[in-house]
Parts: sequence; C-alpha cells; structure tokens
Amino acid sequence: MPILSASNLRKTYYSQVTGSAIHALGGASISVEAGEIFGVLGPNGAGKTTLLNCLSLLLEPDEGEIQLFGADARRSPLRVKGRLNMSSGNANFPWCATVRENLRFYGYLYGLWGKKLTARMDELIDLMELSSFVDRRFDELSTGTKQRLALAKALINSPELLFLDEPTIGLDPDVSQKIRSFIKRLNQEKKITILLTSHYMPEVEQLVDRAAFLQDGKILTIGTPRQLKDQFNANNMEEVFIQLTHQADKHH
Amino acid sequence: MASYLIQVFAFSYRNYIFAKRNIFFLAEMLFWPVMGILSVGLMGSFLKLEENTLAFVLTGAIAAGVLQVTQLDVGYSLLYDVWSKSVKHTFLSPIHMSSAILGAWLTGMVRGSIIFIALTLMARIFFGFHLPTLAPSVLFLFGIFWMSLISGMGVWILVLLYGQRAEVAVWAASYLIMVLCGLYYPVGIFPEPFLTLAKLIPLTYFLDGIRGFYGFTPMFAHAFKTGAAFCVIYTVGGMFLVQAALNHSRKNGQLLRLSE
Repeated sequence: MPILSASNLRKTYYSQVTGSAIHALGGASISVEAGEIFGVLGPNGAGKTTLLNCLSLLLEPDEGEIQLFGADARRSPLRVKGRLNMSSGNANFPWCATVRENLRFYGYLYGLWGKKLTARMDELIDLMELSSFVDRRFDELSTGTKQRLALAKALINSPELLFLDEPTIGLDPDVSQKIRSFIKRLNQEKKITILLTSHYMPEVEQLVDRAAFLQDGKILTIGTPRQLKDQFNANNMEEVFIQLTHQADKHH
Repeated sequence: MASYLIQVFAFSYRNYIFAKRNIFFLAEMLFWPVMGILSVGLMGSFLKLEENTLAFVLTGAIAAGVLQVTQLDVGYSLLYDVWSKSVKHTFLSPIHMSSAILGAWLTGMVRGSIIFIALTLMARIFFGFHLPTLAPSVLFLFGIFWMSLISGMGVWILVLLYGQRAEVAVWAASYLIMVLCGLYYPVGIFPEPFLTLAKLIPLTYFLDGIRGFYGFTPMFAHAFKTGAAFCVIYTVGGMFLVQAALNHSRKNGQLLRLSE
C-alpha cells in the first residue's frame, strides 16, 4: 500500500496584478511506496514545488485527492501532519534563536517534551554533526550548517515521510555530498520514505529509487533511473532531463 | 490535551526568546507606556485636575500602555515567523491556530502585568494615583488583556489575508479603538454613530467599570460583565475568522508567500 498517493491534482494561481491565470498543476498524479526515495524532476516553473507544497498540505489544491498513510489528508490534515515533515533549500528559521532553541521550539510544536525531547535533540545534533554550533544563533550559521539544521528540524518528530525541496541548492560540492549521504542514511537506516525535488541530475541518479518528470504541471513519465535511461536511450539522467524537456517544448 | 498545552507553551517560549535577544525591543516596549503615563500625569498636574479626574485620565494611560504591549506579543507571534521567513515550518506542524495565539498571549500577559505594575507604581509615586480594591483592579487588568487578545487576532487575520503590508493598518486600527473607547474622556460625549461604535468595544466597559470606583457615575450597568460578554463573543468569532483566514491563505498561496 502506498504511503502517499495523489490523483488529479490541479492548482491555478492568479496574478495579483493582472488577474491572469497561471496553471501550476494540471492534473498531476503520483504514488509513493513506503521506504522509497522518490524524485520529482522538471525544469524551472514545471510545478515541482507547488506539487510538494500541496502534498505537504501547505497549499490547498483546487481539485484532486491526497491520501497520506491511508487517510484522506485534505479532510483531516491534523491526523497526518504529525507523521510528516519537510526541509527545503535556503532554509529559514527564527533568526535570533540558537540551534538548540530552534530544535526545541519545533519539537514542542510536534508535542515533544522533557527528557524525550532532549534525547531526540541530542540524537539529531549528533547525527547532523551540529554539536559545535548548538549555542550559535541561526543568523550566525553558514549556509551548509543551516541546511544541516533544517534536516535536523525535519527529523525532530521522527517522520515516516519526509519532503525535501532542493536539499542541496546553493551548497558547496563537499557539503552537498555530505547532505546526500545523510539523506541516503536516513532512508536506509531509519526507513524514512523521502520525496525530493532536485535540479542536479547526478544527485537524482545517486539517491532516488524512482522519479517523476514534471512539465507545465503535468507528469510526463515515471520510472526508475534505469528505466528512464533505457526509455530515452540515454547514458545518464542529465541526458534524460534534456530529452524530456525538448520533447515537452516541441509539444508546446 | 498534553500536546495542545505543549504547543501553547512553544509559542510562549519563542516570544520569550525573541524578547530576550532584543534588548531594544524590550526597552521600546517599556519606553512608550512610561512616556504616556508621564505626559498624561504632567498634563493633569498643569491643569490642576482634581484627584478623581486625574485618576480618570491615568487609568486611560495605564490601559493604553498595557494594551499596546500585550497586543504586540499576540500580533508579533505571526510576524516573527513572517520576518524569519519560517511561516511554512510552523504551519507544516500539527498545530491548532488557538495554540499559537494563546501561547503568545500568555507571554503578552506576563509582560503586560509587569507594565501594569510599573505604570501604577509610577503614577502613585509621581501623581498620587491609587488603584481601587484588588477585585476591580484585577478585572480591569484582565479586561485590557482580553481586549489585547482580540486586537492581536485582528493582526493575524489581516496579515494572513493581505500579507505583511496589512500590519500598518492593524496598528492604526488599534489607535482608532483607543480613541473610540474613551481613554481620556467619557464616551457619553460622542455623537451618534460614534457612541454606538464605542459601545461595541469591550475596553469601553472595562474603563467605565474601573472609573466607577473613582466616584464617576457609570454609563453602563454591569460594565465588567458586559465587557466580558463582548470579549467572549469576539474571541469565539475571532478564532473562527483566524482559521478561515488561514484556510484562505492556504488556497491562494498567501501562506507560502509569507515564507518568501
């Protein structure tokens, strides 16, 4: 049984200046099995972040169904929100709170308290190698450390489902590599199902079990990296990406 | 229930962190109410107001100071997230809207109590002001706190609907409320329709109630009870409207724009 399934998601924004419609999602459907890393790929403006925001219940789609952990998530969001979390690139948290205070605040939001919260925080500080920074304010951290804090915050409630929106965007290659190994470890050791967006195809190839390619708010194809490469007779995911983008542009 | 209380505490905790780290914010919060009480008290001395009339205007100055400080805490609870660009992380979690507002209100009440004590002491030392007995003083203070909660919920509703730019309008509205509720004069001097508007503001009744203890004939029978009844209605309505505003902001993407 899938941990997440969404069908026929549609979302239209309206320009605040002209009132013209922008179709961000045009009937997207995906299904993610428990324990897999699922990639959502596509060019800028394809609707990846909109899809993630709908699935994480931050954005209400105009149409469509979202099932999370077997429950109708749109109808009873509070039932499922405690079992998921999210981390996005260019992370932002209360700027004057320290690493420890930020983790404590978000722990409280998920109902954690006392020794249980302290133990969880210590575990995450250790896992994300944040022990040298615990008493530093958020605005004093480097981009890479902020990103590690974002991942720690995203794990505070021991989520079964984790949304990662461009988790390595703007990071140095060595830090990106470190974040990628964290992600892989989380999936393999903690059995967390992960849905991630990325523009960086080697990252996708390294991490995901399956990927969906999104263009103009519609899913063009879904498959494992191997299946996608075979389908497009490509050597790597970058070539798949380019071919799919050109193909979609021709249909436009 | 335990989770709900922890969530309420979370927002008190965050407001405390922000207050602790911003010494200028703390000073500013104390500065304006103190300036208010000094200005009004000195004006009263200059005009040679009788003791009870001076008490009339000083209760207004104390109410304004406490209201300002407490409502800032409630409104800032959302604005801290907006300024930190972390709105989505808060609303991703399984929180009830009421926990966010109540938590911030608790911190606001602690700060408001400190301001209330400080202003009352100052008014006593410099202008010979005395509070009436404990019960009406506590009712008066709680009335101001409740009014702050309602006013702070107004900030939430407008910011969720129209974004950060609505903030200025909210503070302007709170000053309008202060004018209409009769901070330094009885609302009986208002012509219609301003008198009717004044009667819709809970603080009008709490000010009328406390002034009864300084020898002024109350305009309203059961002023404290009427004020409290209005507060209950506005709090329930306000919570409903905040939730509706949140739902609307999730539909039109405003919630995410507040994170950018």
